[in-house]
Amino acid sequence: MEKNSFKELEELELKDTSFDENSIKTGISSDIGLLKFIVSILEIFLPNVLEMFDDREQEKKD
Amino acid sequence: MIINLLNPIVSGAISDSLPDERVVDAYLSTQNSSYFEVLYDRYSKKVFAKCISLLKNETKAEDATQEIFVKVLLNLSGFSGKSKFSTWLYSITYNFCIDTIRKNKKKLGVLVDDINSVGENISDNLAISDKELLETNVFRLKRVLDEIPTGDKAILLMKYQDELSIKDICEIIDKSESAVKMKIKRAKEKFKKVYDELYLNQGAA
Repeated sequence: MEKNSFKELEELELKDTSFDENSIKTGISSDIGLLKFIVSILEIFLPNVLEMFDDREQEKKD
Repeated sequence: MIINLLNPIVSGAISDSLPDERVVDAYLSTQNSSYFEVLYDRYSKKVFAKCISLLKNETKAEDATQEIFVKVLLNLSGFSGKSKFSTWLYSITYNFCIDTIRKNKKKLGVLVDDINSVGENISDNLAISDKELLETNVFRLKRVLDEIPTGDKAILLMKYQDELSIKDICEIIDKSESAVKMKIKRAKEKFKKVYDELYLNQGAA
């Protein structure tokens, strides 16, 4: 097999670090959890907020 | 169809041999996070290695890896399957790292060496063969790669570490085939120039 120093470098750089796969995985889960939470809050309240603006517009017209 | 093929695997360990593209399809169809975990387990180390190589800081590399996978998860439905999943993922990774470096340099008021910038003309005879490059002493390789502009480093990593095809690199940096070939040539020349400056008087690699 031909030598590839670039591949060796990749391994070397990984060896020198304390890569914690699980902590990053947990971070991703919490980021996604937070985003889902924000989206669900928006889904619940956004129609009400829009409705409120609609009502105000209607009142102004009346 | 795909789901039917995959369902028996979901309950147990998902087969290592299952192609990435099918894992993506299965995730999109079922929204079962185990499929995404498969992709994460396959590529997190690679992505982290790229981040650490380009960002040169472990904490930043960890944060970048996390952000890249969140980005991947949120944009998975946009993965068309035209290219390999790994190419698409590396594209996000390289562009994310280059953007991060660009932002940091802007903060510091330093000129940005962009992956898409026009390389300077190097008039000296600085050709280096692939064989020479691949056989460079690994510690010297690291030193020289850290000295050349990030865009050049990134393109050399794509070509020689990830062994991506010219076509794949075109997709990642959104340039034509001839432009990519020219960028690789210029990056190799810069590598040779820095290498010679650092080690010419100390003998070959």
